Amino acid sequence: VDEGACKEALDKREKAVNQAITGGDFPGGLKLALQDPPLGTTNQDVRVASARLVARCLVQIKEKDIEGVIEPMSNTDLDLLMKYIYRGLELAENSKELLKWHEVVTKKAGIGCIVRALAHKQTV
Amino acid sequence: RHTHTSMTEADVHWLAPCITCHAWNKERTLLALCPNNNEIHIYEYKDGKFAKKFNLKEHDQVVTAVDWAGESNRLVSCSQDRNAYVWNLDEQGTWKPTLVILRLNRAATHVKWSPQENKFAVASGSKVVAVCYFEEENNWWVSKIIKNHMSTVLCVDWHPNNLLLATGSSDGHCRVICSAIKGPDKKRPTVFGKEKAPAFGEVVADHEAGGWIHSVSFSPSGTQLAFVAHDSTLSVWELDPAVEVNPNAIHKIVMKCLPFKQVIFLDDTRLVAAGWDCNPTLYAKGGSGWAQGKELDDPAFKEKKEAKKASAFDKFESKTSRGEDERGTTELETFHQNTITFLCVITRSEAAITEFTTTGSDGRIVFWRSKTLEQAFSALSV
Repeated sequence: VDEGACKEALDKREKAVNQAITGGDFPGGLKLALQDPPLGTTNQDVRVASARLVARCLVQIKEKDIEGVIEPMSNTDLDLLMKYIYRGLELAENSKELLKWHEVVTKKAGIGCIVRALAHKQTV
Repeated sequence: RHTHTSMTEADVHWLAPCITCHAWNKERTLLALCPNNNEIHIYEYKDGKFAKKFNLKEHDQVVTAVDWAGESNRLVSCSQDRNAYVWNLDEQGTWKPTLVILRLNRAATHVKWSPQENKFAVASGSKVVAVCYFEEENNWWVSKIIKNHMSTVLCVDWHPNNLLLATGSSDGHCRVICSAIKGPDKKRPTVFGKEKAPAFGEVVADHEAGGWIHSVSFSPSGTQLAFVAHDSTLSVWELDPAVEVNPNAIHKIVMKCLPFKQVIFLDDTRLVAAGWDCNPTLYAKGGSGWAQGKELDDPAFKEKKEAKKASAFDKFESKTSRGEDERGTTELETFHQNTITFLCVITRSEAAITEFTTTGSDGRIVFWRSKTLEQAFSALSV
């Protein structure tokens, strides 16, 4: 795992997501936040920052819009989103919103998605 | 729209509190199973009923797997006690065990006879596979050790050519390893386009999946390898020994349900997998690859069990063993009430679709008959 590249990707991601959020495009921000995940990194700061970035987008999207946002997402994206949701829950921030996302993602991707979030060694 | 399955209560038998493994003899008249202890029970199956005939007591710990060599009518069993026994039926009709020295320092997890029944492979927690063959001169079974695994080997399956062995491990890898032994095997396999025939124990194909590999299965023609992993995925690898290994020729199905514990090919275009959802799921191969599965035990199609008045004994039994009373029930809608841990093909023929049995942690054995399978496959859109 190239730690330097992970940090660089995170900085790029933060800039892009902030831009999208300021512009009010939260689904777009989420899409950007899910790119280049720092899989397998040992850098805790990168880990936490990446999870917080995703969470920032998640809490801005209204509950009634969640289903529409995840509808076009691929299996891989849903698995990744689920992993980020668990990271966010670990940080004990925005639990209410994250649990709502967890419910809707599970409805679409099934228990298998949760299993993968827990089973994969290389995770965010 | 949906056809009514023809499964009945007669296809479900509750034989023990929990069953770890099972195997059928060639004629499908005898069933060997381990009721989650150190014993192997052999039942006679006649007229749709099971009658216990033998109790094979030799292991010291839980028997993790049994396999029945159909042609030579021998049983092999392996256990957490690090041993394996080969069982032969003598003239008096008793099963005589022969200890096989495996030289393992951890539990044995799985065992399978090779197609020609002259060898068997034992997977183990000591990160090795012991391949055993019979040495005539010394009149005993000898084991040769395959290493190359980074963690517990959970399962094995032989290629129809009797020379290659697929293994699944908790290190997340599915490997194909050369298991040709000088003596029982006439020659080493020239496989996967390699110029030099691989040596015993050499890994000829290797793939890392996203979790523990619980089960591996070669297709009857030996050109595909299916494996199921703990990250709720089922993969089929186009792996024809006649051509080079293509590490990308893997069709991965990402499942919505709990992981599978067992996978078996029924024929070259159909396979069945079962596991923690207690529901065997069928997969068929079509033009565009392997289609999303069809669950065999669909509660919507089943003859609904009449809500029969629980007998006094049933009430007492559920209260003492599970702390249940009439108010709530933890009963599942599927025939199996707990994880399916073992799958055994009963019939395999050219014309008819095969039948198989499943046993699980609920102690039940369930027969999945041709008719049920046919209906499910026709409902499967490929």
